[in-house]
Amino acid sequence: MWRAAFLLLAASIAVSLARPHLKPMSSDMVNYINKINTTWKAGHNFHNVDYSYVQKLCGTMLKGPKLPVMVQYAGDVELPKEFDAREQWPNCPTLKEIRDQGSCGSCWAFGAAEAISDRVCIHSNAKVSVEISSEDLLTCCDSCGMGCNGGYPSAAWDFWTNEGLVTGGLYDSHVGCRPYTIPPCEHHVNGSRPSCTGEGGDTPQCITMCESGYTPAYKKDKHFGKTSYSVESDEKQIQTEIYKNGPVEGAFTVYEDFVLYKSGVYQHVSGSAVGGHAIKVLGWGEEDGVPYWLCANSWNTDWGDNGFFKFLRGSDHCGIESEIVAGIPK
Amino acid sequence: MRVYRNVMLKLVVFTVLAGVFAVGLGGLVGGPSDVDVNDAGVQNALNFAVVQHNRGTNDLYLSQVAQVVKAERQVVAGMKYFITVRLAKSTCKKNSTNEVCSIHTDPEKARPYQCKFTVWSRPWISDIQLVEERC
Repeated sequence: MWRAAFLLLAASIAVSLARPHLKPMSSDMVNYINKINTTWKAGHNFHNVDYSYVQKLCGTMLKGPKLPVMVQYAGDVELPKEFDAREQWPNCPTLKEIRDQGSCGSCWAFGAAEAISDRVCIHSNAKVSVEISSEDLLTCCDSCGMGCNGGYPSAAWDFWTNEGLVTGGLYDSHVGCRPYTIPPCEHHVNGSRPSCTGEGGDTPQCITMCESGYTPAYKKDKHFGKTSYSVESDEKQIQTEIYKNGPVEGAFTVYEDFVLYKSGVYQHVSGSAVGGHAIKVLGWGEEDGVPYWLCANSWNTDWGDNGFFKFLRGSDHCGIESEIVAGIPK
Repeated sequence: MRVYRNVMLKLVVFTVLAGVFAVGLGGLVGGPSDVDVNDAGVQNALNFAVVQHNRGTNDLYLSQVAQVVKAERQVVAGMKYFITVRLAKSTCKKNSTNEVCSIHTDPEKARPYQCKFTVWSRPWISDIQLVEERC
């Protein structure tokens, strides 16, 4: 019986599958995006992606923990048409930094640690300039979710106010107490990054000790938040928050075409929904009449526009305006 | 009295609802989720994984996918695919140039087995790698 079933299965599959080999990967989607004259350009690559031209509505995400909503009185603030936190606070270097989360689903920790680093500097008038450790947040915040398998941005900011976060820079940078331990590796022998060795995607350990040679001690190195909150899903409210207090963490649903982004104002045009992704929002503007949020991704500087991207603003596209969280340093 | 109760009830309901809407609802981000096994990205990742897998075995015959059991996809720096498959030995020898390789019809020779592949893809640096295989 089993034999018969197997024969049937094997026969049916053998017909449809040829010898396993790596097909020349198509760049159909890139060509499509660049041809339809949308608000952004895709980069050429060799990834074989879904070729359905169906424009789908952006999806929503699973619901998690809650933070109080901060409602700003925006009446007295005259918001500029364009705003770039990097130019507003030129003495805060972390605003210009792009990090790399590697093969781990730690976007939630990166968006938070990046925006917190910026805010610590901004709120100290550039007297305290540190890189807040994504590693500390990723590995030590149990209430944040599942580490490399996903987490909650709101819980990350909450952790900062309750437990604090130590400093820590990029992988192998030896900057701060706990630098990131997941490498931005690549497979090519001739690539510019270190080659990969067993990147299984496990969440690293929560080590409550600083890298050797770093002072002060782990506990002394903790930086705390005074408050953490979510920002109302409203364009003006989000703008006011960034304008007054610095970058925020946001999240949206990633569609396949997002990976191909190179320049311009991204909006979803092709491919299926992949999942939620958190990023840092550091400003806004308009390009050829298209309003955008200026965002920093954590996919290294070779992705997108030197690691940054512009995302359609004002229509809660892919949920970008509905998951904004932030906080004020102590 | 009854009117009063109704008003009270409405007030309570309103307050509870207001409470629900007054707090931010954070979503899980960066987690894996199921994806259609016929998705082009999944198929690409799977083809790549099978080639790598065959390179890594010293079996005389090439392994071939008999069935995709489960496929998940996750946003990392790029995309990560977790694909559980049933593999079986094909009639093609490793160094053969046959274009069509069917699975051995004799289960003794097909020797089906299961693998879980983890493939990490970053198209912008043309990088794709099999980061883990459990067979």
